Amino acid sequence: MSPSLPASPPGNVAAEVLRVEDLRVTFPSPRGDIHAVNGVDFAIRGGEVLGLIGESGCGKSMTALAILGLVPYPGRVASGRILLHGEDLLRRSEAELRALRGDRMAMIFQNPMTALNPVLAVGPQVGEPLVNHGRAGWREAKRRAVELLQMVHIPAPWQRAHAYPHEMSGGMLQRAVIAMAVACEPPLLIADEPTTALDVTIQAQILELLREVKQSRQAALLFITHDLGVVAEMCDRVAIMYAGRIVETADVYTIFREPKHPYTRALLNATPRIGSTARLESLAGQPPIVRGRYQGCLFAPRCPLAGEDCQVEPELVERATGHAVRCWRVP
Amino acid sequence: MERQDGAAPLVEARSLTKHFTSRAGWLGGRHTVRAVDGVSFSLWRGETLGLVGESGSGKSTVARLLLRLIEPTSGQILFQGRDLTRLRGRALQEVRRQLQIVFQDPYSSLNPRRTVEQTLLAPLVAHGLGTAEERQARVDEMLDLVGLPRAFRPRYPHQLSGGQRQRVGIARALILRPSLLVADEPVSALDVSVQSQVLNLLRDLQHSLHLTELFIAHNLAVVQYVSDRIAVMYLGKLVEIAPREALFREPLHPYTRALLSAAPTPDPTVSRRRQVLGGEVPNPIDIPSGCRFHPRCPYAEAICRRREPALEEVRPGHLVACHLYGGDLTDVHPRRDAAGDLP
Amino acid sequence: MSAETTLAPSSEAERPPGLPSRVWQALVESDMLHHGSFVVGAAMVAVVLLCALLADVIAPYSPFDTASLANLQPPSTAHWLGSDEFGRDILSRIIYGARISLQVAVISVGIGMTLGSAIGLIAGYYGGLLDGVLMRLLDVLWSFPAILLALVVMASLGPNLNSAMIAIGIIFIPIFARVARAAALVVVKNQYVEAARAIGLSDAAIILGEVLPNALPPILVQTTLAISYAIILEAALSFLGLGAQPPAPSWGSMLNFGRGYMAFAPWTALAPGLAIFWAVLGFNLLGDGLRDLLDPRLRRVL
Repeated sequence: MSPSLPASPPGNVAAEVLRVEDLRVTFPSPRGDIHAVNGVDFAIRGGEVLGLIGESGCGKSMTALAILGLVPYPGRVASGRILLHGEDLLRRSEAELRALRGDRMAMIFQNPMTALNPVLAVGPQVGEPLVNHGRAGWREAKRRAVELLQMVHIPAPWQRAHAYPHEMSGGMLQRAVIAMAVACEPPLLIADEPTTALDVTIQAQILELLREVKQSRQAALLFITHDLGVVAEMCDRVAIMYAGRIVETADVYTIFREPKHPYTRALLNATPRIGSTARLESLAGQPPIVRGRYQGCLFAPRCPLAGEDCQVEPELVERATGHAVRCWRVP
Repeated sequence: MERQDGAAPLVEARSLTKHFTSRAGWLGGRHTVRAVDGVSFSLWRGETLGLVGESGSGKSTVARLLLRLIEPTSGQILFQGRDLTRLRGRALQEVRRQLQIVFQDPYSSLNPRRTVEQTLLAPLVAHGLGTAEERQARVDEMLDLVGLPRAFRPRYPHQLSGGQRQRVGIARALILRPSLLVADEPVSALDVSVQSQVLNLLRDLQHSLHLTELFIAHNLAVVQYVSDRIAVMYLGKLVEIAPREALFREPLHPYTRALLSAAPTPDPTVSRRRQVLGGEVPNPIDIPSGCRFHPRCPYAEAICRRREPALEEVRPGHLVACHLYGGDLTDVHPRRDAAGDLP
Repeated sequence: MSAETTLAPSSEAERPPGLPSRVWQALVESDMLHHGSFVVGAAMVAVVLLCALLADVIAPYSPFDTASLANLQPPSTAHWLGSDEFGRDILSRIIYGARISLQVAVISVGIGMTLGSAIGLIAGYYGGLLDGVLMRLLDVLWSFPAILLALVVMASLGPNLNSAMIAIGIIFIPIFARVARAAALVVVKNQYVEAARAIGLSDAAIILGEVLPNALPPILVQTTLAISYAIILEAALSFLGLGAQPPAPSWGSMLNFGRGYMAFAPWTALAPGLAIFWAVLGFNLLGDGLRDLLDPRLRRVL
């Protein structure tokens, strides 16, 4: 039942770090289960950045939470496999997952102000993963924490280690959060809109830092965002999500040059660009909440190309090397 | 919309200043947040001025000062020639009809207990305009104008999407037929596909209603889509104002260049790294000496630490506050070429 | 509302006939019926309410009918809860007593809620010096023990039911002011309040039209909790001989008189005690349930 996964661009021979197969996350509701994530497949290799793109409600954040085993109650992972270095995370107990979180996989959240404990100094928080996962004693962890703060270009790291989160700016906090995430050198990093809450000039710094960090550790990075500009800058490959499903996936150059799915095209045409005042395309309506059983392509109600055959939902089909689309209207 | 030479501007801000004082705890010293410091600009009838800046730039404060939602510490606001800062009571209420604002957050800018109809009627009732029939007609007119079905009248905000709520906010702002519309980050909280709907709507309304608008945002790409001229703010000061195309063709202020450079372009073939501006966005409590931007400026010289540059017109219609152009550094600075441009 | 692609109809619970469908829809959506404490509390309060409203119909006897030969009778078929020292039927006196308790509770809480909320909303909206002064004045009021305050008021106004209601009302003012002020502070942060000012509404219009309706949920919760406390206070005052004067069937005074007979006729004290317990528990549960429901889910529906 799982559709073909597009192959990675040639040249990347690193091992596959994460593979997600037919992931489904549902939330119960009186009128039928809500399908927050509705059959998602992708894979990421070491050193590669996969962008998971979509607007609010498409399920991208929920996918990240499912990987970490943090889907909030009453939601649950209904089916699928999440393979981290070949091992299925969904078969693991909570205790085993806790051992993996922070050590083998780490997440960088959107709001740095709330990601850190306000009553603890920054240094101990950055060093905590090392102690938790038995990679260092407290003394050693302290030293390593300062090293990490320095690696993320926080000036005067010794002093900053003793500072509290409220004494630091958003950009600096996000750097500290990144330091905390990479402390144990996890092979998988997930960043959920890490720069959305930051100013543009600071965003540029953080994105550069993320690239640097990923490169030096050859970590696989799952980058979640809705900002196409950031996608163009950060990602190697891209998967576009809509209503809990992936509708198109390709490498980043192809996605921008030859988008095939009408939703991808609409997103690109709806993004304002500096230097252009051509009229933006707009999509009427909003994305659906998928509840209970449904029929047909989920994008059809808003699609300019919708037709009779769109009453049957298309599969994700590979149209060119590494480029898969879920649409009947693709030539 | 071109500036009509000789015509007086509709709105003129003169040395607008707003300082907030607060105390850190009972015994701490007083902090002064210099949110807006001597900002001056003009807005001509029918044009849209975009105001861009990051957090701490003071742009939202400027919006509220213009509408007198907060009081300026000093400075003047001239509206159709009258000084708004001197108006009180009844006169101020009268003028409020002419100045309206659209807010950023679609989820908190509408009263959750009022229907769309009640929200739209409120401004008319507050100013005692029209008969009951006329008011209802005006409400319908507004709904049509912003592209919402009339059937939405009895709906509550929680029954509307973010984009629809913003449209209601726009309708509410326009129902009094104001002369000036201030839009404070009206699309920042919306998804891309909805954002484009609202931006198109605003642009269409600008043309059809001949609106004069101050459009505030932190996203340059969004601002330039709707603006005729663009003003850039940094730490409470205006650093550059220029017509849209001029600003992109020839950004003069180093901060403007950094902003343009930092803005991610939806095009992976554009070089992926350019000039990354170092340093943090500084605190409006702790303002650097001289030019406020000098700690992060790649071209800073000694004079930049000592003296604040004034906002001067260095090209027709193009103003910038930077010592590189003020004549002070033209001799000293070897990097500028014969045309006076930076590389 | 966002489009929903659903085909399977759900099985809804049956709607009681006579209830408007929109109300039923709201109840189901809001999950009210699944909330134990709300339902139980509401049921208990409903019983008290019915007693108060339908006392003339339900009570088997008049609360004032004495029968000296039938005094201090234990519970029997003639007197379900027994009779008191004057031969009056305790059950009937309990039922009529609900009237007094509710009347006092509602009126006194009404006074406290109106005055207290007004002060609190004004303080929360304007902030600054006005807020500081008002709150400090209320702190003074707040620091008096409730009973002491009530005694002081009643000493000046005379020991009767009306002055009891005023006294209890005054006690509640600081509580409501705090709640209203906190709610106002939260509401004022919303942009629609700023929008109202931009439109040109006066401060009074904004406080009444924008702030108050949105500050209502916590005030409502506080009201139910205050009613339960008022019932206790009234009982306490009657117990002390202030408040409702005999032969009025106040639960508190029944408790006072029953105290003397605990040894050999405990039902005379137990019955009013249980009645107080029932009413207070009912209102508390109702208040707790309301608190859970009103923030933030039900706010969308109400």
